[in-house]
Amino acid sequence: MMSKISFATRVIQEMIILIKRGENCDDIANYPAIKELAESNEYFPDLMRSLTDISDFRYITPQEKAQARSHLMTVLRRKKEIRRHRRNLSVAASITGVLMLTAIALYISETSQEKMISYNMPSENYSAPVVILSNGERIDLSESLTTDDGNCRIENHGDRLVYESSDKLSDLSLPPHNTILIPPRCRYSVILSDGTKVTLNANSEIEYPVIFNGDERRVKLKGEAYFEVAKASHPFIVATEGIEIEVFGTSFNVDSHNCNEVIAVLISGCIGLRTADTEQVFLSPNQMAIVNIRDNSYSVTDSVNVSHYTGWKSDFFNYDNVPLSLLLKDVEAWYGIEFRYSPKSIDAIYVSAHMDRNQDADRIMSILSTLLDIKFYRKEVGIYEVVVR
Amino acid sequence: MNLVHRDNELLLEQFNQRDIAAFGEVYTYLYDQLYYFSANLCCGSDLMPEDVVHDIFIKVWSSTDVKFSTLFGIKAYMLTSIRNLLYNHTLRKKHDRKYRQVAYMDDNLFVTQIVESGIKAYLNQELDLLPQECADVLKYHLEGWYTKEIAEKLNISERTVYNRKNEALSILKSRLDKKALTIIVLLCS
Repeated sequence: MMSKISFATRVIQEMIILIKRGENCDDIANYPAIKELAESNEYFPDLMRSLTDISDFRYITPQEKAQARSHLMTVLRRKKEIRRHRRNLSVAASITGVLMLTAIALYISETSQEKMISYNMPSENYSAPVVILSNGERIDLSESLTTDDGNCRIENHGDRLVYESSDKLSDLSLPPHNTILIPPRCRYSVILSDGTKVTLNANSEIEYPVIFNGDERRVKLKGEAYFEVAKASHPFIVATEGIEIEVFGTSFNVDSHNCNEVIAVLISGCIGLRTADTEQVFLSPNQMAIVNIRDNSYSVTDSVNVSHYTGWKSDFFNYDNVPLSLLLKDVEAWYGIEFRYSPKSIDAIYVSAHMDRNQDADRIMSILSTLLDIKFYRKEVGIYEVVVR
Repeated sequence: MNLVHRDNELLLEQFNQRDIAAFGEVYTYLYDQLYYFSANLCCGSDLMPEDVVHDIFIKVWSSTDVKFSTLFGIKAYMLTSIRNLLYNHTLRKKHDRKYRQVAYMDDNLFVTQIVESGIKAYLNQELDLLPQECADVLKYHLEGWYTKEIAEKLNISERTVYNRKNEALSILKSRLDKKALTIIVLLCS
């Protein structure tokens, strides 16, 4: 038979679960979970009575509080004066400190799972997109340029790099490869020589041949990109760590920021995904596949709102009533930072927002914490803990 | 609880450095809940909750090597300290027949008491935001006075007491988020 105290805790836990699920709790005693508890325990009426009995509630007036505070201030000031004359801290105080801290550790250790994601961060620091030519030359893409590589003309049009192949190249068996590196807070596009347009999100990298020669068109992606693949006779393949995506015409989004999984969302056309040891899985439009590259398992979701996953392409964080976790994911990717929180704690929070991407992460966090009653605590450089109040 | 809008990190840093103004801020922020928590434990003893809260702050002030990494950590530390302080206090007085045997507050009860004190603190804060007459009626009601007594106290009719109480409750309901709503509904029924 459960003790009165653990029973009380159970009831409160059930109530908290209901509240977090957003249930209407007006008639809480009739909820199955609570009802079950009630039927199983004779203390239930007592508990309800004690929760409703607030005869020991005493309203604290603001004046009372202010007075107590100034009393404290006075005492502290006096103590500060005295301390100036004493050099030695008592040993007793530090011992108490250690004991108390142990108590806290015990109290706070709940079984909340922290969501930890590690990112494949680009290894070097740079602040504008950079293209690395086949000869190793690095060109900053913040300036316009016209150059060529392997007989292919390359032009920087400000927000995208355009490759134009001339017909003479088809005898090159091993075309040169270029790589584009995207730093945080940047988006950039590249138009490959077959006309495929790839829009790259912050903290991403793509390696591709200057011209497509041979049986397949193959590119290597790290991070996140939106592909609009041009129709051609040869299949287009996107290789990212752990999986390969074969494109049978057209538009899809690949997100491989999280080093444990790759997320692909198909907007139009058809794509097939394959990992090292699975067969090809085909996606149709508005389907999303999440592939766990650690164990090669995957899941496919239908009727996905694709705008949730391609929102990063806009100049704003523009979301309408989406789960907070989605917005946080976008912010993480854009700024190259990490949020830690227990997924259950923000489960019920939905947000609509329209915020300019062109501002500091701190501003975004400050907006979110005002809007939503959550707080961001900086744990280390680039890592923040999210706490719901 | 609404903290004066300010950089929490800065506040925490200053608190850790035992800055007096920072202590004052945190005191205001935590007072309600710590008070209600102490009040529950102080039942039947000669200690006053306000003194207990005061003493805990002084204690933390003096233990300059105790540093906190979050505001929540400060609250947890203080709640634990209050529990320990009161337990030790009643232990010492065990020989005195006036004091009932107080069992050490186990984790379950600790959690329950924290939730309860948190609710009361929330309620206290919300009451400040109600219009004066409704607030007065509701406060008396929450403190346990009967409608008749409240009517006499405030020199109004029982009908008016009833109306104002309902008005207060409906304002609270519209103001409070889901989290607190259930609890308040339960508490006020």
